[in-house]
Amino acid sequence: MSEFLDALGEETASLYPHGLLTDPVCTQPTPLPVTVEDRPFAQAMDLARYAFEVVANSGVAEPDRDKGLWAWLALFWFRRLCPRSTHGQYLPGERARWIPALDEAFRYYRHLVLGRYLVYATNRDKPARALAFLCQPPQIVGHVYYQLAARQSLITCRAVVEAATLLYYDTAKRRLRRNAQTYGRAGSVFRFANILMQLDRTIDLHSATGPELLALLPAEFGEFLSGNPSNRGE
Amino acid sequence: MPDDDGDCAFAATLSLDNYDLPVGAPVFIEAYRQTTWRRFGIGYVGELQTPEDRSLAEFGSAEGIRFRVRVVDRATEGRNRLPARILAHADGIRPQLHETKHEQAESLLAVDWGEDDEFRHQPWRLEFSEDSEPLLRISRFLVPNRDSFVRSREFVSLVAPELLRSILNRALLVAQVEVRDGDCGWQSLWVRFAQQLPGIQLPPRADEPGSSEEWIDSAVTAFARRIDVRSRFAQWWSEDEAP
Repeated sequence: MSEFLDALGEETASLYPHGLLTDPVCTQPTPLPVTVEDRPFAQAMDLARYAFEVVANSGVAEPDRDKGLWAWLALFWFRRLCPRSTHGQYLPGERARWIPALDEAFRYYRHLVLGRYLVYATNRDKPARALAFLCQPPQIVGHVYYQLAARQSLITCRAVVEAATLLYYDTAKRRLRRNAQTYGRAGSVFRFANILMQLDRTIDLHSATGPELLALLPAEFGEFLSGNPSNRGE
Repeated sequence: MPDDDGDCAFAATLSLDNYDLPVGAPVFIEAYRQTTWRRFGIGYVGELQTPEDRSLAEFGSAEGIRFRVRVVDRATEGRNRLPARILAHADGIRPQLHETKHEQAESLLAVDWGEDDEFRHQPWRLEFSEDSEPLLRISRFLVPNRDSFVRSREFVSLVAPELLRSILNRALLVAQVEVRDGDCGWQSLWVRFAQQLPGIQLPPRADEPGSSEEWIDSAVTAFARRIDVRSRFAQWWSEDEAP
C-alpha cells in the first residue's frame, strides 16, 4: 500500500491495487464474516456510523489497535475518500491518513476511517453531539476535528464535543458555521482549543455539560454563541 | 495490570498526606488511550477507597494506557452552573505492568515521524508544549527510515546528548520543577532517568543559583559516556576529511 501511495504523486501512478484487498499474504479474515459495501458517504458521520456497524459485526477483539483492519478499510474506500486535484489526480496527503499510526499519539486520529470511527464510538450514545467533527464530506478533515482530536484530554470529554457542536455547527444549514475554522479569528476553533487547554488545568471538564463550558468562554466567542439558537436557550 | 483471568485491570496506591487538600474533596483516577477514557471514583482525600470495579476491559490490552489523578473541589460543583474546580492533578502516569511476556522498554521520548508540509527542511526538531511531554519530530520527507536514523552513530554522537540537555534544561531551568518522590510528570521521569546515570545524585534545589546548570552538565556528560559518544563519533569523523 505504501508503494501505491508513493506512486500517486508521480505521473506514472500505479493502478489501484485491488489485489491487496484479497491477497492472503497480506490480509487475514475477520473472526466473523462481514460484508463491507463500497457505498458513497455524504458526510463523515455516515462513514463513521457504517464503519462502526461493520467493525461491531466483525468480531475483531480490539479494533482500535488493529492496524491492518483500518488500512484495509481505507484502501477499500480509497476512491471515495481521497481528494483529487482539478486535473483528477489523487492527492492522498500524509501516510497516516491511510495507514494508521496507532502508537503515535500525535497522528493516530488522522486516519480517515479510524479517526472518524473513534469519535463516533466515543459518542455513540448520542452521535449528534459530534456533528461539528463529522458533518463534512469524508474527503475533508477540517480544523474543528484537527484542533480538538489532537488533544486527548479534550476529545475524550463529552462536554467539549457537545460545546464544539453548539458553537460551530449550523443546524439549519447542516454544516460548519462561517469563520469557525478561520485561523486568527476571534472565537474560532483555534482559540477554543487553546482556551480549553487552559481551563483543563483548573476546571474538571468531565464533570461539566456543554452549556456549562460555553458559559465559561470569554466575550470573543459572542459571534458563535449568539448565532446558534440552542446557545440562546431557544 | 492484567489480572489472573487475563482481563485488563489496574491497582493503584495513592498518598495525598503531604498535600494541603480538603479531606472531603473527591478523588478520581482516569485511564485513557486515544479517545477511550474511563473515570474511577476512589473516595475522598480523607478517605481513599479502592473501587470494586477496576476493569479496563474496554481498552482491551494494557498497551499504551496512561493514567491521570484528579482531586476536585466539590464545593463549587453545580453552583451558578460552574463545573467542579480542580484542586490537584497528575497526568501522563505510566503504569507498571504486572507481568509482561516480552520485556520491551518503552521509549521515554515521544517520537513523531510525519509528513507535515512545514517540516521539509529539517531532519529533526525537539518540541515542547505546556500541555504535553517533549516530542522529537522527525521529517518523513528527509528520513525514510526512522529507526536507522535515530540509531545511527551520527545521530547518537551529535544529537542524543543535546536532546537530554534540552529536556533537562526545560524541566529544571525553565519550568523549575522540584522533583519529589511519587511525581509522575514528564519532568520527574527525565530527572529520575538522569539520576540513574553513574555519579549523578539528586538535582539541587531551584534556589541554589548555578548549581542546576552544573548538575545538567554532569548528567549529560555521564549520559554521553554511557552511550559511548566518543567512540561512535570517532567512527565517522576524521580530521583528514574535514573541509
